[in-house]
Parts: sequence; structure tokens; C-alpha cells
Amino acid sequence: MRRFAAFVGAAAVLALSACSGASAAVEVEQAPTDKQTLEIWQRKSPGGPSDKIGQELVAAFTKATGIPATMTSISDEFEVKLQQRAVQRNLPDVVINDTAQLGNMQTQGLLRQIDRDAIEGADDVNERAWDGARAYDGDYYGVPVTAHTVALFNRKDWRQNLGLDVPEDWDSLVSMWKAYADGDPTGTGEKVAGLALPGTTQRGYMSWSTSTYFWSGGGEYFEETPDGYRSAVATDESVRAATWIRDLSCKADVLQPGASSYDSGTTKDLFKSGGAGSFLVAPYELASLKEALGSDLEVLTPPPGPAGLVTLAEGNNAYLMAGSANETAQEEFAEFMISAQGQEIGMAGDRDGNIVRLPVNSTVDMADTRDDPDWNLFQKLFDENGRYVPAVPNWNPFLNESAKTLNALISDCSLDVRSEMEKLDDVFTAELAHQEVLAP
Amino acid sequence: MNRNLDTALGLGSQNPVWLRALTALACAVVVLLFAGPLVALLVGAFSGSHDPSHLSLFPTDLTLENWRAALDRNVLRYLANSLIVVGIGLLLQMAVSVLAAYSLARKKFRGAGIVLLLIMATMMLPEEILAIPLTIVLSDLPLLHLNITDSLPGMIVPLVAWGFGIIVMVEFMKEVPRELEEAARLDGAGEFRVFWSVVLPAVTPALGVIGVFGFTMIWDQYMLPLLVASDPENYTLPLALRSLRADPEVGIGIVLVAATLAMLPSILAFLGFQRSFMRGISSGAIKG
Amino acid sequence: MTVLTRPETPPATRPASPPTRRRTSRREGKVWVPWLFLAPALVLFLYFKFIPMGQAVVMSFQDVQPYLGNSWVGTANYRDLFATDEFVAALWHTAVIAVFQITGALVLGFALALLLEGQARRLWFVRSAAFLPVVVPVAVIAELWRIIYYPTEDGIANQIIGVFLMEPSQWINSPDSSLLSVILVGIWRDAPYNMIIIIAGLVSVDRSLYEASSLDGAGWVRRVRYVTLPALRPVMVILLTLAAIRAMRIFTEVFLLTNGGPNGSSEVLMTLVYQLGFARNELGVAAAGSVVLLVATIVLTLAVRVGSKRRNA
Repeated sequence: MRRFAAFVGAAAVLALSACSGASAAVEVEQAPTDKQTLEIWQRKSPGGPSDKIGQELVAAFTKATGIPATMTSISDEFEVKLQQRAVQRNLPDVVINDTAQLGNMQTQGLLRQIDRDAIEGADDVNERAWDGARAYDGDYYGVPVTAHTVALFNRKDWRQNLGLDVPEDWDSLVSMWKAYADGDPTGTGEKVAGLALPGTTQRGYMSWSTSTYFWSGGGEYFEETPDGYRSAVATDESVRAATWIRDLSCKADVLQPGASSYDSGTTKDLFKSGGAGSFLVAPYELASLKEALGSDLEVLTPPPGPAGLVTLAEGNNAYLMAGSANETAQEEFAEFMISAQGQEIGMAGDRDGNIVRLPVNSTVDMADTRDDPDWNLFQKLFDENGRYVPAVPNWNPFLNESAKTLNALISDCSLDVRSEMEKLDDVFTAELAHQEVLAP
Repeated sequence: MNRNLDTALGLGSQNPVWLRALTALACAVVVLLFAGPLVALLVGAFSGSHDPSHLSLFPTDLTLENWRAALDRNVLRYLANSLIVVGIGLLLQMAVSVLAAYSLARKKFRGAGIVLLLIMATMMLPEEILAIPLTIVLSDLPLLHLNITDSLPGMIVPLVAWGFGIIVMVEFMKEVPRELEEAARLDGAGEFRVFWSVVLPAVTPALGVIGVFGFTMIWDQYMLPLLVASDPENYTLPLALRSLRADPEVGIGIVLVAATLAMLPSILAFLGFQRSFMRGISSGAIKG
Repeated sequence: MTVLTRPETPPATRPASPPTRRRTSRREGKVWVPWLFLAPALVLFLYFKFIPMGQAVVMSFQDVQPYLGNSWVGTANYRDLFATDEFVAALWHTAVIAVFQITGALVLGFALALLLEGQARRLWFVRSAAFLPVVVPVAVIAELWRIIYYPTEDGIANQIIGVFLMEPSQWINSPDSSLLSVILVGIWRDAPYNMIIIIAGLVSVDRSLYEASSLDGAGWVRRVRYVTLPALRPVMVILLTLAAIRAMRIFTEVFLLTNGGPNGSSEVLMTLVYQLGFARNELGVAAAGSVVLLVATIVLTLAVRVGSKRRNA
């Protein structure tokens, strides 16, 4: 009897568990258009300047459309928080996040497909920016709202103290960094690093922060063929590019100590507080670094490597999330963000906290809102040298795995670069097969 | 009689001076090693230095600057969330524990053995192990179809039933003499009167025990708030610590303030209820 | 003998049969009364312990895709899990942490207990001060140690080992030292807890044995070895097993100190499960990991219980 009761109990628990589990996706009943509201997320520091700009943007949106909306800024573990909401089948309505996250979300069915023709103002958005919103299948799953690329932030005062010219190639670049590390550029005897590098594996920072060097050094992640992708990380060129990156730590020794655990935030702090001489980063740091370092800061075109200059292009899309009961409002928000008004609020002039870096709307003239000429350098780099990460179905695993390999290479100088890259090659190949895009 | 031998090492006032000096030194090292870093944290919250590598036991450049800056970063909100969670959570947890324990300790009924076994089993199912399915359950409570994620109730309700609290309470309630209860019943007291006016007053020290342990347990929660909260407005202090530290726009000073705020209540609870605490440690007890 | 347990761990109370009474009073009341008192606890346990547990089992046999629909995959998740190097590495790291942290905390806790045993008020103060790390939230401890472990030469931990002429270490930032760094924090936090329990155990050591050994001319070393340690053995055994069960699910410390890095060098089972579930969208595999962990906990608990029963028999 007792056993029977226990059995029934266990069965009941299992049954309850099974039916509480997520079932197949269903069409969500839409709220009446005049009752729609929006929950919007952006990957920004809560309470920080970008959060404030985001709030301004949403307030303007509500004023223009009458749709109530909240903007939530989350910086720490954004993707994890989003994944948690996905597990709960309770996604926010709109997420403003990196272009590189598109594949990851799209393959899980978290995104609504975008019909470009149905989005008002879509034709004003420049074509290169739309590239960042296209998935492997050729369809669009986001609306681009901002774009940018990286440039080399450098300590002009240190360079001049040491009597060095602006580096024109990789040799002079590395010797400048060595001079920072060994030549006491501050004149105080304080030990500083040549290059500040976010080298943690977290969010794939190590790979992200070195991809400009990797490409400029001749490295490639994939070889694209008409039938799919093939891993290219173990080619001679890629190994050479990876070796150059690891030598920054193991030979030239110009990275900050503990670089392998720095994320973008701590790295920026280090550069800002005079712990390193150079920092390769996107223009979203321009205002705050200018404010901290003033005329000691110069923004340089990164010197071209053996394969010329390729800079990592990125941007943010407004993603319209699946399962929303507010689809009309979602579209209206995307339209507002790419409108001239939305872009200009997001650009925030020369203030800190811009959420639109380079405007995607070609009718917006940057000079109207911004006085700082360095912005033009970023625009020029984006137009001429910018390159988005490969459009594999899901870039994230590749980013994370290459970050792990490079992180290991800079932390453990006894590792052999070629054999590590060959291991990575196997992982890439397996992952391509897993994503079903491996070229035969 | 050799009084030295009250303890294993025989340390005491009749030791030679050098040995006593050595013992005192060792004690000083112990205090420095275990309490020192916590004091340094407190001191750091009030000092002006912003070097992320340094903590000092002695305040230099005393200032409230960090505290002012912390207010801008919503630290009061995190503190309020933590206090609400621990306040309501503890109250409910103690209520549920005493109710369940009353039944298990004072009643004889079919199935009591299985219930006790189930309660013990729950202690093998901490939030850590259940993290992923728990997230799903919280977002869509079976049968009720309520979503309590990203809300304070979501961080409170799952903690309300706590196996340890119930079992400690059972141990204490078993000791209450049966005669008291019988006498009350002869006077015509109902079930709830017996529980409320006879058994409960007899176990007040136990309430202190499960109170102070429950407080520490809820205040230390990390996994559950991590799973439940997505909007930073709902973060508790321990959760906020990490996001403050990882935030490039936030300095170390603010992190120290938040850490101090998260640390002080638990230390105060411990110092205030030290006797209950020690008693509790010896009441998860078993006669081997 | 009295043995002490930590709040979140199962007191090894025997799942006793209901308290026996000479006779069942008619005044025990109606059958449903005990269930009424139990109801809140049981409903909550059902919702937040047993249903999630059942769900973990169900999910571990599924490919879980919240927005695409779940599908049954048999034991594929378990095979995926055991086939990855990461899982094996995480198992190994968890075991290393368990062994060294537990041993370290036990040895240090024992040493502290010997030093601080006694009634003097001064000792009471030292004991209370030393006990503070136990009550402070883990999140605070982790942030504190991140500062202590600051990887430059003037970081606190590096200055301390510098006194002993050791080279500065990268601590949590290097694959060589990350696991050790996590273990040191664990020892620092657990040792005072063990100390209090061992001191409680020392109270019950028969004082006349100390005297007898003293009359035999034994020094303190032999006294500790032949009198104190044997008397503490039962306490130690329970402490050890409880700590082992706890160590299997170590999460917050590692999550906040190293997040499993650098390069996976400190990934433990729970951080891996968390990563699989919420960073890599492998919810089914993560659920399989949870189930494996759960089974391991149950097996270990039962083994301890059977073992201690046999000893008592």
C-alpha cells in the first residue's frame, strides 16, 4: 500500500513536471494595438551615461507614438540574463545588442524575421550596416541601429616623451609598445604596459579584441566556398598571425600583467588611469577617454599588418524578439530608432554615453551633431577597412573557442602555437559540422 | 591535581612566560588572519584611495565620498531588496517550520515517516543542483500558471520551506513535556490553542536558533536571486556586488561600500545572537 | 556524542520512526489535523524541490529549445556530457578542490581548536573574531579575495608571499594557480567553522585520560595523538562526509572568483552546468549534468549512512 502510494506520488510529480515544461512554440495572441507596451533591453551599464541616453530615447519614442515603453540596461552577463528569460519563455519585446549575437539568437528561434520593405525608413539605412543584420540563410533578423569599427587609442604624451613617430607598420608599432614598457615614458619610474588588452575568455573578449590583428596579419577564421565553410585557423598565415599576437605576451612582453583575465571594462580602466600606452577600441569610449586624458590622447589609424589593414566592424541591431504580444509596437520602435530623430538622440552629440556611434541612417550628417573630428576617422575606417565577423549560423562558439586558444597561448608561453591552432581547427571543423555548414 | 590538563595542549596561566607570549602571539595572528580582511573592507569603504590592489587596516584619508557615489549607483535599492527578502522570507520560513515541526514532533499519524524522509531528501536538492528546471518552474508555476521571476516574491517563496529549520524545530519540540499539552487539552484547549499557547512558548530558544540560521541562510543566497532577477532593479546586494565590480564605470570604492553593507547585517546578527548560533550548531545533532 | 552540522547540510538524524507513545490519545484529534499543519511546507517542497527535480529528469532526455519546441533524444545528452573533455576536467577540478580544501580546513580547524580551546574570555573573543568569515555572505568573501589576489607585485597576497621571498603570483588569473587560489579561500572560510565544531567535540574528551597520559610521562604530542584524536574521530568522520557532499556542488565561490577560468582551469561541475544551460543553450545537457550531480549526492549520502550504521552495529 505504502509502496503504491509512493509510486503514485512519483508518477504525479513526473507528470506535473512534464506538463509544466515548455512545449512547441505557438503563435502569441496579439494585444490590441492601442494597448501595446514594450519592454526593451540594452547591454549597457545600469545608471551609467548610456543608460540615461537610452531613457531619453525611449521617452522620445513614447512621446512620438504614444506607446508606453521601459528601457532596462544590463551590462553584466547580459546574454546569460537573456538566455534565462528565453528558458522562461518570457523574452523582452526588443533587445538592442551586438550584431555578432544574431546567429546565436536566430538559431534558437528567439528572433522575428524582418521584412525590410515593411519597415518604414529602411531604405535610408546604409547597405553595409544591413550586412550586420543578415543571418546565414540570407534573411534579415534585426534592424541595424548603429555601426562602428575600432581605432588605436594612444598616449600622445608618452610617445612624444620618448621621441617616437606615429607607427606606420607593425615593427614600429611593437617597438613603440616595447619603449612604453621599458623606457619609462611617464618619467616617474612607474612600470607601465605597452598595450592594454582585454584577454579574458569571458564573452570571447580575447578573440574579439585581437581579431583586427588576426585579420591584418593574414589570419582567417574560415575559407568560404559555395558549398559552405571550411576552418582556416591552422593555415600558415593564420598560425603566423596567432604567433604575432602571442609574442606580444611571450616575446615582446608588452601586455599588462594578468591580461588574460581583463575584460573590456577593467582594460579601459587600466588605460584610463595610465597603466598602458595603447588600447585598440571602438569609439564608444571616445568621450570618456577624452575627458580623462584630454590632449594626452591621440586616436590613430591602426598600422597595417602583413595583409594590410582590416578592422573589426560591429554594430548593434534592434532585435524584435519572438513570442511578443506587441508586434506592431516592436516595429514602430525599430522605425523610430532608424529615423533621423532617433539616430540623433542616440548619437548624444559629443556627450559620453552615445548608443548610436556611427549613424546608420544615410540622411543623418554626423557633423550636425558632433564637433570632434576623430569621429570622422572612425567613419572612414568603417567605410574602407571595416569587416563584420563571418556570417556563420552562430558565431558565438567560434568566438569562445578561439578566445580560449588565444588566451591559453598568451598565458602559457610553453605551448606550441601550431599544435594549439590545429586543435582549434578540429574544434572549428566539428562546430561547422554541428551547425551543418561544413563544406564537403 | 594538574589544572593544566583541562585542555589538550594544556595552555593556560601557569605556563612559562615564553609559552604564554607565544600563545598570545598566535592568537593575534589568528584574529588578524580571519577578521583582519573584513575590517580592512570596512575601512576601505570609508577611505579615499581608489587603488584596486590595496586594502588597509588603518584609515587614510577618511571620507564619505564612496557612500555618496554608491547612492548614485542604486546601492540603497539593492539593500532595500535584500532587507525585504530577508525580512518577509524569514518570517514566513519560521512560521512554516514551526507548523510543520509541530505536526511531526507532537502528532502520531500514518505517513509521518515518509514525510520526514521527504523533508530530508529536500536537503539534497539545493538551488544549485536544481538551477535550470527551477528557472522554468518559477516562470510558470504548474497548475497556477503564475510567473514569479524577476520579482522579489520569486526570491522569497522558494526559501520559505526549509528542511533544516523544520528538523531542528522537531528536535526541540519533542522535548516539550507531554503533560503540559495534556493539561491544556483537559482545560478544553483546541488544536491551535495547544500549538500557540503551550508548545510554541516552550520552544522560544529554538525560535532564536532557526531565526539566526535562517537569516544567515537567506542573506547568503546567491543562486536563487541569480536565477530570478534579470532587471537590476530587483538585484539583492550579493548579486549587485558582481555587476558593480564588472562595470567599467564603477570604481572600487562603490564596490567596497556595497560589500560592507552586505557584510554588516550578518556580522551583527551573529554577534547579537551568538548563543543561539552556537546552540544551533550543536542541535543539528545526532546521537551516534 | 554530539555532532554538529551546517545549516544547509542534512543533519544525519536518523529518519526515525514517528515518536512512539504509550497510547494514542483520542485527543490526538482528527486525521487531517497533522496534514493541515504540514500542508504549507509540503506544497512548497513539491513546487520548488520535487517538481524541479522531476523536470530535471525529464529535460535530461530532451533537446530543450524553449522557442522551437522540445524533442526527445533518449540518452544523447548523457553521452554528450560524458564525451566532453570539459566534463571530465570539471569532475577532476571538483575532486581536487574537495580533497585539498577539506583536508586543509580540517587540519587548520583542528590546530585552531587546540589553540583556542578553553573558557577564558580572551579565548572567547579570539574565537568569535575567527568565526566571522563563516557568517559573511560568500559573495562578499569572493569580492574581498579578488582584491587580496590582485595580480600585481603590490597586491596584498603577493606582498605577503613576498615576505617569504616568493615570486609574485598571478593567483586567480593564471591557469597554474587558479584552483589553488579557490582552495585557499575555501580553507580560510571553512577552518573556523570546523574549529567551533571540534572545540565542541573536545569538551566531551575524558579529562582523566589526559591526566593518565600525563602521569605516564607523555608530552603534548603524544597526548594529542593518542587521546585527543581518537576521541574526535567520530566528529571528524561526519565533518568530512558533510564537507564532501557540500564540495560537490561548490558554485558561488568559483563563479565569482574565476568563473571557471582562465582557460577552464578552475571549471567545476556546477559552473559547467550553469554555463551549459545559460551561456551555451545546451539546456538538456545541463539538465543531465544536474541529474548526475544529484545521483552522486544521493549515493554519497546513502553510503555514509550505511557506513555509520554498520559502525554502530
